Amino acid sequence: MLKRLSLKNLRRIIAAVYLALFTFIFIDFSENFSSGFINGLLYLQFTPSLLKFLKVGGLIATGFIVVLLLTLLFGRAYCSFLCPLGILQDIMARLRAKRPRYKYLKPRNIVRYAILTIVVVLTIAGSLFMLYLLDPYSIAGRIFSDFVRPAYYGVNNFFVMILGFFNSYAFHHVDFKPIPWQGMAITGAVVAVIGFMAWKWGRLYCNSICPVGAFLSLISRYSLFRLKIDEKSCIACNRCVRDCKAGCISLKDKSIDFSRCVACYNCMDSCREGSISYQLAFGRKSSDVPVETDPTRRSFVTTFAGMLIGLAAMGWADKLFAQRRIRNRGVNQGPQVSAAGSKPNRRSAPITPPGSYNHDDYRNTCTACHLCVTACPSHVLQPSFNELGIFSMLQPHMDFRSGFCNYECTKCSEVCPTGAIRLLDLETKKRTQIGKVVFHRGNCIVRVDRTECGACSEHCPTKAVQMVPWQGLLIPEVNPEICIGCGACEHACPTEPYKAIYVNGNPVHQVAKMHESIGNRPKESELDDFPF
Amino acid sequence: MKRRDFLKKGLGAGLMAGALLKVGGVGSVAKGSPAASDSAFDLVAVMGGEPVPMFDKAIAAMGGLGRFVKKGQSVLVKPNIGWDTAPELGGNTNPRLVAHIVKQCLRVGAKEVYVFDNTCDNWSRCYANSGIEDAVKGAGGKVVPANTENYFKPVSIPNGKRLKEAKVHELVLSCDVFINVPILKHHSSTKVTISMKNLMGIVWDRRYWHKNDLHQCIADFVTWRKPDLNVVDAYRVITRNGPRGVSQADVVMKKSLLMSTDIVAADAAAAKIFGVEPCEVPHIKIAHEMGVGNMNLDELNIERIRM
Repeated sequence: MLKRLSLKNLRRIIAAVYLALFTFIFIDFSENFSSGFINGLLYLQFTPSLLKFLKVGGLIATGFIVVLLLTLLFGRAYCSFLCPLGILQDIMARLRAKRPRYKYLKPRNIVRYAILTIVVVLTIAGSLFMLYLLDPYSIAGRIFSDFVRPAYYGVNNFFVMILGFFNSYAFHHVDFKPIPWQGMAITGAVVAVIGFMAWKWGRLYCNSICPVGAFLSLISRYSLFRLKIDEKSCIACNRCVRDCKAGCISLKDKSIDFSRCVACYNCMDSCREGSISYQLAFGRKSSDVPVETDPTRRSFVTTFAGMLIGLAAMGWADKLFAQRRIRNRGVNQGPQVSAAGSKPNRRSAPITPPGSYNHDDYRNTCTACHLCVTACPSHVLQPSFNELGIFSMLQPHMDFRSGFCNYECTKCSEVCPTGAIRLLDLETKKRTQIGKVVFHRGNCIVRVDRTECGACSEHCPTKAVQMVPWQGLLIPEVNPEICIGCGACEHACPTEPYKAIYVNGNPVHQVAKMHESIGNRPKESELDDFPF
Repeated sequence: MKRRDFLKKGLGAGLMAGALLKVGGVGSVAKGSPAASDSAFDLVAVMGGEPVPMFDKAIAAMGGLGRFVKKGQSVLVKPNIGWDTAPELGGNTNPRLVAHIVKQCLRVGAKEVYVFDNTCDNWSRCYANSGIEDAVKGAGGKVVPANTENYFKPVSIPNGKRLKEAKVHELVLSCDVFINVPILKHHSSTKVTISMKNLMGIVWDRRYWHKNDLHQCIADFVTWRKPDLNVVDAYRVITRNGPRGVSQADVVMKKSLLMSTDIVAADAAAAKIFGVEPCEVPHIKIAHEMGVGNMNLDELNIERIRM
């Protein structure tokens, strides 16, 4: 029995495939997908594309224009076909034991457009905090990178363990570097709120909070083709209303509020009379439901104000705790073998990845989707807590406790969809100075314990850290001019709790000088016989 | 319902795959200790050839690989894959040499040949860009991860002075034969890195060594387990800016290879080729004094081969 593929089923297939791929690029640890594939997959993601367009420009950043055109033609198809958070909400709603029965919801225009306005104003003013807290792409990214990824690692490690019993090394174990719990808590809270809303009211988030949904709704009001109910054939059976997760179908006047319609096409499938279809709008304004005040929106506003105050309080509290932790660290470690590493360091500035050019630009362009956190093979890119400032929380920074920036790698700059980390060719990356090395002699093993170490110099790819003779031993000497700030020295330095060598971030990235020993020809040996 | 079905099928397939692997081969429990001594030479030094022919000459002088690898044994070949650098830079052991050794082990009847290193740079990139991963796979060996602590098991080192315990890769414990294939290089802190220093790639916590008298720890560790054979790649030698090297200008074409069952002798000879006296490298001297091996080359029976 051949049936024509309905728009609803087409939507489901595309959404399922898209979400599956999207999920995988956000949890993958083996570089299974090329950067080109990732760029292609995220090409149509609205917020990153728009930011990249404003920041970098170029063909690769035109995805949002395609989305705008699509919306102008057929409405908010993005929300149902491509928005990862939208698809996740649909899945959430389907997890209910009973099929959800939706009702017509009043529009919450004041709330959604107020939030959109705040987000736009703050973004223009230079803070992306509200945007990335609410942007559906970025939230979905964080869900997968911060929550699903550790679970995926766990499953992988379990199977690796099982395979280990059979002496197979076909797959490998992988460590998860812990993410600051404050960030996890925020993402967790957002997920809980959105999940609950989706469970209870379908796409309420998309039509009352989501800034992308609100922005696209401004366009879908004037879409060329809109879903309409044929008043003559409609028998007011209420099936479409029951299936409309956007709650935008009103049977009272047999109208569809197309500004809130997420183009899921459930209504078309549920209508047995075939009364719902795309109609050319011819610029006729759709009968907008008059704006009514709504008691719930006040509670939304309070919720958000509360969230912001809570965040600030949390930041303050953690700072306090962090200071206490650090103060205690040197004392509570039990018997200390060595005094090396007991003197505190003060990092003058945080470190952002090569390709981010300067800290302000980075903070104003990164939506904390954590794709780079997933993609970084060295796991040096980690979500920040307050390293970049409390209102940059969750934006990734270079965490040299977790790892260091691999000299021959440009992965983060290849995958970043917003232009916060811009594409660097390898040679440029190798000269990009994201910070400068500082040697803290008083913490050094060689100085304090008088034994050889040299882990810093060993790991340094540019030899900005050299070992020089000192009292019969070799001690580090730094040349910040040729340092690129990759953090290899800091990561390798064995002293605890403070390192004897560390990197101060460059708020504006610079170009490192070249080491004098550069050449592409090896020397011939002067040995013509065995020296023994 | 569909989700459940999928899970069932997935689990079933997983178990099947596991079962097949079990049929494929379980590591032998019984360990045969590799034959030692019986060669006329304590050390074989070759100069002037390409890595692979030099190895063939050296192993023939040592009495053939069959002396070390018996039929059905599992072999661990441990090169230096510490850095994400191309073979021309000399940061890692020559991939052709490693692959050749793997192939020869299999030819004399090794059941399995494993290759790994606990790298310094990102491990998967080191494996790939050193050329060793492809070369070893092509030769029929198995490239094994060593990227997390899970692969490392604690051992105690009773004869160590500073290093009393370490976590060692499980394959070092389970393999019958251990062939150490370092590359000779300048090293910013230990002056040179050769066979003994290369063993830092089979342990997990290197920071402890750096914190507790690095040279003593390097020597201490060898008291726990000496490789059955050391093959020192001294073909492309980083003579400054080691152990990673900045560019090819740091490399000198020494075109040599050293082979010995005595890890201290191998390192002493390699140090001479590099241009330092063995006694000037503290861990060689300490290991000699602890009786791990002999660094006095004039006391050894050395076969010198010019190609």
